Amino acid sequence: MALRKIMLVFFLALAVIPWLGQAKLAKAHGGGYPQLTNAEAGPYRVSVWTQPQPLTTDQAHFSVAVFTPLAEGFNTGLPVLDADVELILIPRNNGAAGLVLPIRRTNSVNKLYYETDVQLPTTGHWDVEINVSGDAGTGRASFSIDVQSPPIKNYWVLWGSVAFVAMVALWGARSFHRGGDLRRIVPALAIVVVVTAIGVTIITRATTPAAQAATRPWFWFMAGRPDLVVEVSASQWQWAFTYPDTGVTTTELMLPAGRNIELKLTSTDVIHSFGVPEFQLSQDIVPGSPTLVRVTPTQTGSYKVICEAFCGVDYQDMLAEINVVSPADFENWLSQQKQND
Amino acid sequence: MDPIVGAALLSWDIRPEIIAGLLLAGGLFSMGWRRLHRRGSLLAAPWRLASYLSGLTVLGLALMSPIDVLAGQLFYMHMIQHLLMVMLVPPLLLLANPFPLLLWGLPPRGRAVVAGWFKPGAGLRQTLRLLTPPGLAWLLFIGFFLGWHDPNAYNAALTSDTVHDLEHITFFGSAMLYWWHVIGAGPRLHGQFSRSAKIAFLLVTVPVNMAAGITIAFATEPLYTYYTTVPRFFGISVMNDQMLGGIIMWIPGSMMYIIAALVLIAGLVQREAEKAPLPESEWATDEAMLAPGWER
Repeated sequence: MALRKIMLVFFLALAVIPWLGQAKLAKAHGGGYPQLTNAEAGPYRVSVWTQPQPLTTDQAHFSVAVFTPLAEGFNTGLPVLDADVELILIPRNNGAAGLVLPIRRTNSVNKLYYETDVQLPTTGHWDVEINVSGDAGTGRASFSIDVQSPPIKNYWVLWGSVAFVAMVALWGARSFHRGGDLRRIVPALAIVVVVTAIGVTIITRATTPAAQAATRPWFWFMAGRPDLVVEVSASQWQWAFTYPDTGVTTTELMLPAGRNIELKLTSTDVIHSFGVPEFQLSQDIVPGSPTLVRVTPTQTGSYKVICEAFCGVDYQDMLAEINVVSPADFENWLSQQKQND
Repeated sequence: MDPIVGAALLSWDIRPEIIAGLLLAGGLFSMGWRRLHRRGSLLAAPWRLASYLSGLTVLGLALMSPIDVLAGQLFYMHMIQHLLMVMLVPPLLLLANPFPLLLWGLPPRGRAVVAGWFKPGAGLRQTLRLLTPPGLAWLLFIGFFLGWHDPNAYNAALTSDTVHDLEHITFFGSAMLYWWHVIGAGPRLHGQFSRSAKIAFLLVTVPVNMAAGITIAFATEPLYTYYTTVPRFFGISVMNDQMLGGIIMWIPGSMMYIIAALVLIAGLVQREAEKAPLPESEWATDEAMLAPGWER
């Protein structure tokens, strides 16, 4: 009798928990993943965030902040609250239809931003344009997004396996304790269920970029101390390389062969991607989120950095030279650069 | 009113799941309070109802009002939100001694079932007792507090709402556990601690809290880089905002523990004062006057 009741409660809990996990929608307060930060749009400045990350065909939330370039005594301008803001979405693959949506502040949670939920009909790359028109004139800013299909809702499979394991454990414990007091196994069972639930939750959540960011301190621990740190700054449509130890900044990347090199990738405007085919390296760079990458080049020679994310009109020209030289040559080059400064 | 301030004050994040939870807790408590009040129980004092309902109201405001929406733009607003959730709401809720009153809010059958889980020797009671000793509660409270203020974890919470909710749930849950030990509300699985133990439990938290606040207030570069991607609409720079947030954590944050410790110390002093004075024959002898306090 008691066993049947426990089973009932257990299955009810199983039915409720995945629902709680799914119930959280992208409809959230302004903010999220920064796509544009302080971007110029005619007489205005624009910042754009999207949620969730990555965007999916069933969930896409856009938050747009429109503000004036600079106001007296302010670090950024004042918000423009009475502009007409339009969101234009154009799919990169031909054939699919684009979307034009006016965004109104009345639908926003954060009334300082223009927010909207969008149903994107197809996956793949989309170009996004933000058109702003108001008293000061009109302006536009653009970026691109990568839309994916929604994650497979495999929660039932996971929770089904949890239920199966728990049932077998319960059955085994009952035969073991036949005639004994079933309540004696309740604490053990509770611990098993709680630990499994935590494990399943971590597994299903750990693959999100936010969870990966939270584990970044492990990076140095796992990869060891770097021999050389180079700061890579990507902006529309050029690369800049800074050697922080000496303060040297160049437009071509010089690297010593055989050294453990840490590249700190940052973007000043939109999403770029640091790609070097010969290094088997392709890393997205998101504004506001510095990304660390380790490289140990083994062969001297000349390679090219290619921006592998569509980052605007001239993205195909966003290239930079990489020269891998011997460590001695590298030291010579660095000291020469320092003298030139 | 200034249109920017007006727009900021209109920014409410109405979340049905939170409202439902608050209404359920408030409704159960009020029903239990009414039942016990009719029976003339001392437990159903009006101040308990007021304390519990104001606790729920502050929790609702912290999670849904412009405080929450602006927390995405201003670090110090986020610190105020966390202080409300961790230092104000749990004491308000727990001073009302919610466990017995919520129990009385249940229908009689349900009440008997739940009460059965907490009878001495019951499995759930023993499991909970095993999982919530005061040392572990303190470690969890401090661990979540410090862990979430790591810049990577903090930025992750700001970019993803799921992570942000997880942050708030762990903060609030561990704070409830911590203050439960301090206030001694039901169910008293661990018995009652002495006042001096509770004072120590409170005061050991202060240096950790201060260290974190000082670190943030005196940092020379933006720790929480997400805020550098947000337009500074309110004229406060990222660094000033961070400094202000650190100071809020440092001073008013530490103050709550010290106030609670002072209340407990006042109780100790009060108990001393209530003792009957010693008869004159005992304290006015020659030996006692020679070295007061040594006579016994």
